[in-house]
Amino acid sequence: MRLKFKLSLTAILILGFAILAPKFSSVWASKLILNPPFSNVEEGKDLEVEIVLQSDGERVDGVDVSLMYDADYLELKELREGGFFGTYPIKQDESGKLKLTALAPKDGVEVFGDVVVANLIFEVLDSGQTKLSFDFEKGGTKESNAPLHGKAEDSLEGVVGGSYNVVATQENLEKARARKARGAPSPLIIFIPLMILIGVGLWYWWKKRKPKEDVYTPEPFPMDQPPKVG
Amino acid sequence: MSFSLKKIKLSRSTWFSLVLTVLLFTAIAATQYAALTSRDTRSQASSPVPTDLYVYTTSCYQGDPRVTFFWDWNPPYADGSYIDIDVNSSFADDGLWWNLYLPVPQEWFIWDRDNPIGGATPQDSYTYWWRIYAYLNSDPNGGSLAYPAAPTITTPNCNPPTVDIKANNSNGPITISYNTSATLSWSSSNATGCTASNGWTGSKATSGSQSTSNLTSAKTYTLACSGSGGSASDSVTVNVTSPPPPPPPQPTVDLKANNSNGPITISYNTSATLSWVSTNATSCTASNGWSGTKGTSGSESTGSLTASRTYTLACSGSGGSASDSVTVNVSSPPPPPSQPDLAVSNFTLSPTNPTSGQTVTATVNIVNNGSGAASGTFWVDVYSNQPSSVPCLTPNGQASRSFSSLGAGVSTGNFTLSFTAPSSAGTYTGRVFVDADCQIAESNDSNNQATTSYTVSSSGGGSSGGGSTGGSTGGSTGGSTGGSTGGSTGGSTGGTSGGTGGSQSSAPKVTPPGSTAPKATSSDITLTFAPNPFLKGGMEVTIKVEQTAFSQKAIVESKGGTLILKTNSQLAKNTNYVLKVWAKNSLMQALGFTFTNDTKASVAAFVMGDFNGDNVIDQTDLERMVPAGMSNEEALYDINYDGVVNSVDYSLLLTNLGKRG
Repeated sequence: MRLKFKLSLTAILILGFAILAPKFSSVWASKLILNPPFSNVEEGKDLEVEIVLQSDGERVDGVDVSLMYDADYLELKELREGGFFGTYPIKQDESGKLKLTALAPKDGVEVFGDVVVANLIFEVLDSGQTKLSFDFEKGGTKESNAPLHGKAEDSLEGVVGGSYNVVATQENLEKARARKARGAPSPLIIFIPLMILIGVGLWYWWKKRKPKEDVYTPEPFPMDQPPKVG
Repeated sequence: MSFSLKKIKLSRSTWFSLVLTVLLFTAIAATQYAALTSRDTRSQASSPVPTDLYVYTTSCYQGDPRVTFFWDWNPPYADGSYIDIDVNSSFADDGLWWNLYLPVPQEWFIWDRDNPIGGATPQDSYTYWWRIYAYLNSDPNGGSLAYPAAPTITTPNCNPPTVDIKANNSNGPITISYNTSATLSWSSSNATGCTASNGWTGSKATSGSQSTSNLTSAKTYTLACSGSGGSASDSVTVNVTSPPPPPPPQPTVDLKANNSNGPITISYNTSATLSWVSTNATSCTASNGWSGTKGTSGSESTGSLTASRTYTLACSGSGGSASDSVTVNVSSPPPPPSQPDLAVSNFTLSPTNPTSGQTVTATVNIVNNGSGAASGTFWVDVYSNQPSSVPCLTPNGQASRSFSSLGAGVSTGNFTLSFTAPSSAGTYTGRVFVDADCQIAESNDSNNQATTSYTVSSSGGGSSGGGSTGGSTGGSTGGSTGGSTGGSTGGSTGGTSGGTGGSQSSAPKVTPPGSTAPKATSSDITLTFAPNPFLKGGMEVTIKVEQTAFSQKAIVESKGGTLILKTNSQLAKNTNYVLKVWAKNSLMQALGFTFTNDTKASVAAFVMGDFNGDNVIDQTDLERMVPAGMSNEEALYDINYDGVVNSVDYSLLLTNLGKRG
């Protein structure tokens, strides 16, 4: 009976913690976000986005940013370093993936609130809705990180990307159409070889099929006459 | 129908569990109720309810604050809904809320200079309250009001920062004396942090002062301060006066003997030539073997020397003084010309116990031990009683005889001299003295005399036995001291070798804990690796036993584990060894052990960041990594072996900065 009581009490406490804990767990370490997260960019304007590190006072040694964007819609024109971190040893932009590392001095820096890591200015290549998203895996070390000073553990708890309605200039729109036309294959290019392939397959099957053997085939005889005897 | 709780018989523990459950759900209900009651009671059933209000971010936009509001709907808004976003400078519901009616329902709004709320735009460094109403067109007087969990917003200061740096309270450029310091002072506005560059580095406070180091060349000190409104920088240049003229050169002097720096050895009673030259000297002074003022260069003879001498010459000039010495040794003098050495080789008396007045015969033999002949007459005197050594020409010899010469190595043969025994009975000392007049120059005069004692009895009585004694003394002392010291020191440091990380290496993997490790034999070493939680991939390590040919590589992963080292008889039993373990970018570990039948050793967690292999993680390693090492993404700087060089590797290096192997 005593064991049952203990088990019941433990189960209730665990259940209660599971339900109530999320309501009070507003504490987070740090986040990478984009500012603004949404916007409508008028024709002829560039998309300007800030990469912001939000933290509640963590001391970090730097930040790694791995940001994915659609290279059909956007082209990175300029990357301006934020003033908070001192050194930017890695700045790579390759086919829709921006990789950026900003380092603090050797004592690390405390981040209270929002800190601008970098300003990105994209030229709009095509009209439509496009997204920017961080490459992040909690516990991973290869993508976006903000390591804590003295521990070398990632303080990033999450990332928030952005979604933008962009309108390209007429000139860029024409370029985009040409690019799409070059890139999109004609349906006939797929259909004709497919039909040829099916035809060859059928011909092969017809040729290889075996004639039926040991099957009796009666000779036709007129049904309006009595069968011949003998 | 009646119902009584008393009829329900439950155990005490079941009751307790029941009560706890009720309390738990009451708490949940209270939480939900609190969330609901934060909304205005004016809400209408037909209006959507805004929920989860929060400020996404506060930032600066083109020099002015920008606030992004977010919210959600419960239930999702219906057609015809609109929302009213209110901000106010105080929480009082005094009708001074600024309102914005958004024409279409949406879930975010950016409040900035271009998008005011009720004509109000966000101001720098200001705290606002905010709330949201939701309405239906059909019910404009009703609506749902919601306050966010964090009802206040504080906008950043978006004014552009300013910074002013001075050197010795001047905007510069200033000029200071060579090898002195200047005081840098700076102040800033609208900044949250500053970073130094050029002549100095590191994070700085938004205002402050500090001294430069002693400067020997001009430097420019740049300070960049940043805030929400951007960044600004200022520089000041500190010039340095020309260095003072170099000190006058130090004099030199070189003194030689017979054109040699010495020591030299010359023949006895010959001379050597001293010669000297000096630089940067104005005068020279001689000491030790010579003296007086000398020219700054010259030569002179030592004169004939019969003993070794050291000659010292000190020269001085405006740059100080210098001295040099040379030693001239003189060889032994030539042997003197051949000389005789007359010595008494036999002196006996007979009878040995005479009676008083009796004639005593002394038998004497003289030998010339010298290399030269005793040329000229010399006398041999015998004294009947002379206990003490007698000087030359002492009279009172009782018998004597002369010799005209005595060749080298030749003896006179025994000859006799007689004297009369003393008249009184007693014991007497007879003495013989060769060359008693000291006419012959000898190489050794100490062996020219000899004695023997005898007893004289009275002539009227019998005689008693007697005897004689005689002898000579001589000796020499000599000795030498010598010694030498010697020693040697030696040492070696292990190097590092580059390796390939992860699975590309053919080296064996360390067996992780929990897996079955190969069985060790008596000639194996069981090596246990501590966990290395920072590792994300396999790390190749080198294991080497000092003073042997044993060397092996292995792959270590984050969990550590066990490795069996096959020594293949390269180690001797019951012998002490040192085992060294390192990775291409770690500190080296040295483990001492005695090789026995069951040898075990433990490797601690690796300390990473030693890129130059000096077994210290210091500023040199930091400067190798940042920025060049990281920019080139060299594998050496991938400290956690995850295949990427980034801020995590940098952070790991900083964690280990200052550690030594």
